[in-house]
Amino acid sequence: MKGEDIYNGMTDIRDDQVAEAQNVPRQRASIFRKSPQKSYKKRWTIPMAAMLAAAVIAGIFLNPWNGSLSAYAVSEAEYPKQVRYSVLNNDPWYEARRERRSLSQVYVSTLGNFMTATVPGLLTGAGTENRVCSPINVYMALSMLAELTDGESRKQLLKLLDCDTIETVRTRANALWNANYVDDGTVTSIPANSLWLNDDLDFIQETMDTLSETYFASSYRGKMGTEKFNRTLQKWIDQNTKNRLKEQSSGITMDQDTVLALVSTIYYRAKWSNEFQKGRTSPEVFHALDGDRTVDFMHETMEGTYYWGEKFSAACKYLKNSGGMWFILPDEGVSVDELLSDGAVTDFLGTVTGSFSSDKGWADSKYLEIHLSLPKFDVVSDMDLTESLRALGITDVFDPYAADFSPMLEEDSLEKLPLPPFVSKVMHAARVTIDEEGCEATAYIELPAGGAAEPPDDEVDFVLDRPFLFAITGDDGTPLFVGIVNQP
Amino acid sequence: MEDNEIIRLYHQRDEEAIAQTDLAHGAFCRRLAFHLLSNREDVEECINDTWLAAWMRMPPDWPASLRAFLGRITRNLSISRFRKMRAAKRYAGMEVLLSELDECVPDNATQLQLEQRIISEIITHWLDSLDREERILFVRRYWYADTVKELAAEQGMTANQMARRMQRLRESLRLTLEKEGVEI
Repeated sequence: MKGEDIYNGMTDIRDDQVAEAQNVPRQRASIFRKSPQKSYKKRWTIPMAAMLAAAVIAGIFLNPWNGSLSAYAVSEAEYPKQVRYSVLNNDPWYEARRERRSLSQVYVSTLGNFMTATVPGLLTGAGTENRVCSPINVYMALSMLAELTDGESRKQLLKLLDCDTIETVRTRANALWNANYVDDGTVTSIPANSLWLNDDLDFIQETMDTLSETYFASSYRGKMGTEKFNRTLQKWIDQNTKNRLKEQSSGITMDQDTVLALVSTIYYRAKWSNEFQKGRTSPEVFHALDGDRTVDFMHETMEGTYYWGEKFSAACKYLKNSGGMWFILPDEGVSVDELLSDGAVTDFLGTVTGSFSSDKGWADSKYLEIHLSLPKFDVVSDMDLTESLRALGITDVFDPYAADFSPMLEEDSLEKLPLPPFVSKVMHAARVTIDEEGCEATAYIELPAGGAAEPPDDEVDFVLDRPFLFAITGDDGTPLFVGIVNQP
Repeated sequence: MEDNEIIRLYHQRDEEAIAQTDLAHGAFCRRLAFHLLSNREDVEECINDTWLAAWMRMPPDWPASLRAFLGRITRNLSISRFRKMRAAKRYAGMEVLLSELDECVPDNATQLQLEQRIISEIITHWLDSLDREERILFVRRYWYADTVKELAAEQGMTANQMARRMQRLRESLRLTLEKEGVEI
C-alpha cells in the first residue's frame, strides 16, 4: 500500500461526505461554524403533478366609430407545426428546441432593457392586492401598435421598445414569438394575437398582412357593440387562455365606437423540473400586509444558486423543458414597492432573465443548499395600462388630435370618422397558478425565517412567507410573467 | 440549470450538456485539477478529458451528485496524468498531496494488500467517526486538494498550526488502516 492507494480510496468516499465539504463556502473565516439549521439531504424524487399555468390578455381598443354587419373571421393565424416530444426518439425534438432557443440572440438584451423600463411602473401600487403582468405580452401588443401608427406616435413606441426602425421591431417580435411558441407535448406556451376590425371601415391591407405574417395575428371583422361580436371576442380569449381568464374575458366588450381592438394573450403551462413532495406540504402562516393568514406551503430542499442584493434575496426553481420561476423576497421591513422603486431588483430581473445560461451574470450569488418554502398560489389581476404607458412616454396614441394611425385605415375611412382614431383603453389581465394535485399535508415542519441579505454558511432557508415578487421565464430567459404575491 | 437537467441532456445525447456542465461545474473541476497538477495547460487537457469521460459514462450513469461524480473523474485523470508524466513534469500539488498521504500508510503495509474498495470503505467509516469540522477539513485537503495555506487562512490560524492538525488526522487514519487491515 502506498500514498496513491490512499488517494484513490479518498476519491471513492461517499457523496454526502464530498457534498458536506463542498457546501462550505470558501474565502470566509467563519466557514466551519456549525450551522444551527436543520438539514434535509434527501433529494425528493417521487413523481408528483406540480404544475404552473398562466394566462394573460392584453387588449388595445381604438375608438371611435359606429357601424353595422355581423362578425366573421377574415383570417386565422396558422401556427408552425412543432416537433412533438418522443421518449423513443427525442433527437428531432431536441434539435427543434435548440433552434428555437437560438432565436433569442435577436432580442434577448432588448427585453432585459424593456423589463427594466416597464416592470416598476406595471407592478407598483398593488397595495394589498396581487398583481401579475406579462412583459412579453405587453411587448408584443406594443409592437403591433407600432405597426398601426406613424410619426411621433410610432417614435414614442419605438423608443420604449428600444428599436430604431419598425423593421427591427418586426425582426425582434417575430423571433420572440417563434422562440416562445411551444406546444410540443411537454410545455405549452402560446402567445396569440388578434385584430378585431370594425366592419364599416376599410383597413390598409398591407398593414393587416404584416400583422398576420409577422405577429401571427388572426383577424376578425364585425359590427362593433353587438353582443355577437363581443361573444366572439370573449370566446377567442377563452380558447387561447384555456378558460383560465373566463371571469376577466366576460367583462371585455367593444362598444359601437370601437375602430379596432388589438388583443394579445399568452397561455403558459409547464411542470417543475423537480416536483414538490406532496407529504411535505403543510399549512403555515403567510404574513400579508393586511394581516396573517394560513395557507398551504410547499417545501423542497434543492441545490442551486442563491442570489442577493442590498434589499432582497432570490432563487430560481426550474421548469421542465423550459425556463424557470424566480422568487424575489424583500428583506424584512422592506416593502415590494420600495424594492421596485429602488432599481436594484429591476436590474436583477433584467440581468437574470436576459440569459438562459447558468451563469446569470449577477455577482452576489452563491451555490448553496436551499430549503425552499413556497406558498401555493393562484393570483389573478386585471388592470388598465393606460396610465403606466403614459408614464413611460407613450402619450400621443391616447390623444385623438395627436395620434397618427395613418398606416391602419384607408383615407376615405379616416374621413368618415367623427374623430380621428385613438387608443381608448389598454387592458391587461393575467393569472398565474402554482398547482399541486392531490395535495395532503402529513407533516408540519417549521423553518425559521431567512432571506437576509447575507447568506449563511452552507445552506439557506428561503421562506416566502411575506409579500414577494416572482418572474417566469421561458426556455431562453424571456420574461413571460412578472408579479407580486400579496395574498396567496 | 439544475444538475438533473444537465444529466438529462447527457442522456439525450445533447452536446449542450457539456456547455452546461462547464458553466455549472467547470470552475470547480479546474480548481481541483489545478491544485493537483499545478499547470494550466495540463489542467485544460484534464478538464477536456473529464468532459469526454462524463459524456461516455452518461448514459448509463445517472449520478446522485454530479459534482462529486465529475470531481472523481478529475481526480482519477489527474493521478493517471501524474503517473504517466512524472518523469517529464513536476506536478507539485499532487506530489505534496501524495507525500502527505504516504504518511497514512500503515507500518505493516507490505502485509496489507487491500482492495481499493476496502480502503475506501475504511476511510469512509473513519471519516464518519470524526467530528464535522475535522471531517470537512480532511475532505477539503485530500478530496478537493485545497492547500494547507488556504485552509489555515479560512480557519484564522497559521499554516504550521494547520499542518500539525492535518498531521494528527493522518496519523489517526494510519492507525485505523493498520487496525482495520489487520482485522481484515
